Formats: sequence, structure tokens, C-alpha cells
Amino acid sequence: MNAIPVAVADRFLGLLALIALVATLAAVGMLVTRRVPSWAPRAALPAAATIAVVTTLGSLYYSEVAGYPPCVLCWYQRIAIYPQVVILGVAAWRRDTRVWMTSVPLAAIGVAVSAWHVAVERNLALAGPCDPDNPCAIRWVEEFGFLTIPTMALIAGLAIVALTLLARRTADVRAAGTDRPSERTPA
Amino acid sequence: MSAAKPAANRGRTVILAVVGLAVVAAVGAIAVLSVEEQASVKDLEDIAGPVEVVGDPLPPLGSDGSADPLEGQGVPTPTATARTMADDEVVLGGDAGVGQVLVMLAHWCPVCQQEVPLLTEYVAANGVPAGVELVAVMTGLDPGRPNWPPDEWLEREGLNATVVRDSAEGTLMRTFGVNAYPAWVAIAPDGTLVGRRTGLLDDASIAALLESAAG
Repeated sequence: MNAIPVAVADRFLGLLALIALVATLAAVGMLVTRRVPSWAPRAALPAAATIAVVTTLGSLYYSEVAGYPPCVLCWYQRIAIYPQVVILGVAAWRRDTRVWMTSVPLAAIGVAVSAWHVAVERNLALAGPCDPDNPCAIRWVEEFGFLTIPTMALIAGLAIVALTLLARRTADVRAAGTDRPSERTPA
Repeated sequence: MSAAKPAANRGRTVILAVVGLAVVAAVGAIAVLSVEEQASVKDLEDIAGPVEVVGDPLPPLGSDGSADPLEGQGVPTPTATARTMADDEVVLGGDAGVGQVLVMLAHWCPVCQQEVPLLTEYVAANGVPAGVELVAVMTGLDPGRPNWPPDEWLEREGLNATVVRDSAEGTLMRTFGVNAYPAWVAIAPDGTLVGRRTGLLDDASIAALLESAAG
């Protein structure tokens, strides 16, 4: 018997995914409007690292504890997310906002695969007949009617991209000497 | 002043960490409290049935959906005896004595979940040709996968067909040489293979398959 019932883990990870979605939208909003609260820069990289850790642990829980075998597309997403634990962890510790150059391309690859996986889940014509061993279209989890495992991975990838870029953006603004880009001294 | 700034930064970092932990703890509590206990469900042994086979299995059909549906046409099919949930014996293929269309359905397979309502609607509107029996095979049995148990799923869908149980090892899948879900096997009244298909079929394909089994 699992130490943590799968239904509880599903709900827990689903709720965290919703929080990550809100964080993503907030980060995108800050990037677009260029209005960044003073606490956001400090939180961006640790939050991105935390999302990478939670996503990795969630993925391992589903395959090693719940017994859901990862499909081919799941493995590609794992390749994109697992290294982020170290990359973003070290960057958060060292406050290295240049990490976006490594983290964003890797996360973007994961986001592209997740988006395709979500499309396969939603449009079964893309999936073909179900492989008895490892079907990509199977929905092991469906929290709140839409949060499947690849959907959660998609949100995690987008959150990492947005938060890492937010940290970078903030560093750019600081380098310019003000939090309000419109007030920058012309070059 | 230079010493005060790192201390202030550390203080803010601690506050952010505490807020983060509090959020995770709150989410964990909500998850525990909001999930209801699930009623006990059937085990694999409750669904998987004994299957007896006489004769050689059909050669395997490709599982990528592009295999020739007429591959093996005219080959005598083995005779398999499976059971319904009520434990009634049903003879499949070989010596069944009627045309049959077997549709192999896995409860967790999204394509099967999409196919069953279409098939249900088709049968309700058009019936099956005289002398043809439509048999739904519950296969790919795995209580750890979604949409378990399969008998309750098919009952909910209201599929008007004979429903039989495959073994836990998927004996009927192997016997009829199919390796993807859903899989369709059309058998003539004389027990020879008419054709096999895999994947989602539309009304026209279902009609053609049923007609082909009429002989």
C-alpha cells in the first residue's frame, strides 16, 4: 500500500500546479507591464528551483510509487526537467540571473514536448491505437477536469521559463539603475 | 550600513522561505481533507476469466494501425471459450457456428473510451446483421489503471453486445493475434477469418465489418 494515497497526491500536485499557473501568469504580467514588486526578484529563482524539485519528485512519485509507467513523451519531458533541479538550485543559491541562458532553452524543449503530449491526449487521432504497454494518450490523472500529468508538466515548464526570465529582467533593470525602465538614463 | 544590508536580505529570504513552506503545508492539508475515501473496487480476479483455446493462434497483426486488415483472410480461427460476468460460456471463433465481430476493449484506453459510445449508438440505431454476434472482450485488465472495473464501464455505456472476460494475461488478444486497443476481429460463420482492424472505427467501418462477418 502506498504511504501517500494516490488520490491525495493527485490533489496535492494538482493544487501546486494551479499555484504554479498563477505564478506564471503573474510573472508574465510583470514582464509585460514592467511593474515588478520589490520582493519578486528575490523569489523568482528560488520559486523556479522549487518548481523543478516538486515536478521531479512528482514525476518520480507517479512512476516509482503509484506505478504509472512513463511513456516515450514522458521521458523526453523528464530529460528537460530533471537537470533543472541542479541548474536552478545552484543558480538560486548563487543568485545567478544569467542562468536563463541554460534553463530557458531546456525548459522550452520540455514545454514543446508537453504541448504535443497534451495535444495527443486531447486529440486521439494523433495517438493512433493504444499501445498495450505504454500508451501516450492514457490519462492517469485528471484533476479539476483538465490537469493531466503532461498538463502539469507544461505548466511547470512555462513557470520555469517565466520566473527565470523575470529574474533576468530584474537584473537588467537593476543594471540600468532603476526599477522603472521608462526612467532609465538614455544611453 | 554594508553589514546591515546582507542581514536585511537574509531576513527577507527567511520570510519568503517561511511563506513558501506555509503555502505547501496548507496545500497538503487541503489535499488530505478534500479527497474522499473511495469505495472498495473489484480485484483483477473478479474480472479476469478462464479462457480455453483449441487450435493455433492467428499470426500477429501489426499494432501501428497500418497493417493490412485482410491479412490472414480465410485462415481458420482457433476456438476460444470465454465467460461472461455471469459465468456463462461463450464460444469465440472456430466452432462458434455464427458470424462474429469481436471488439477487444481495454478499460484504460482513451481510444476505447471514445469508441464504445460510438459503437453503442451505432448498434442502437442499426442493430447487427442477422446471423452475426457482436462480442465485446474486456481485456488489458489492470486495476491500477484508470476506468476500473471494465464491466461497470460497459454497463454504464449501455453497449448492447455479449460481453466476455479475457484472462489476466490477455489470452484472447494473443489467440486472435492483435496487439493494440481497440482491436476488431471479424469471423465468418464457417470459422474462418474475415479481417482484423485496430483503432477507432467510424460508423461506415463498423457497418462494413459487421456485414463482412455475415458471410
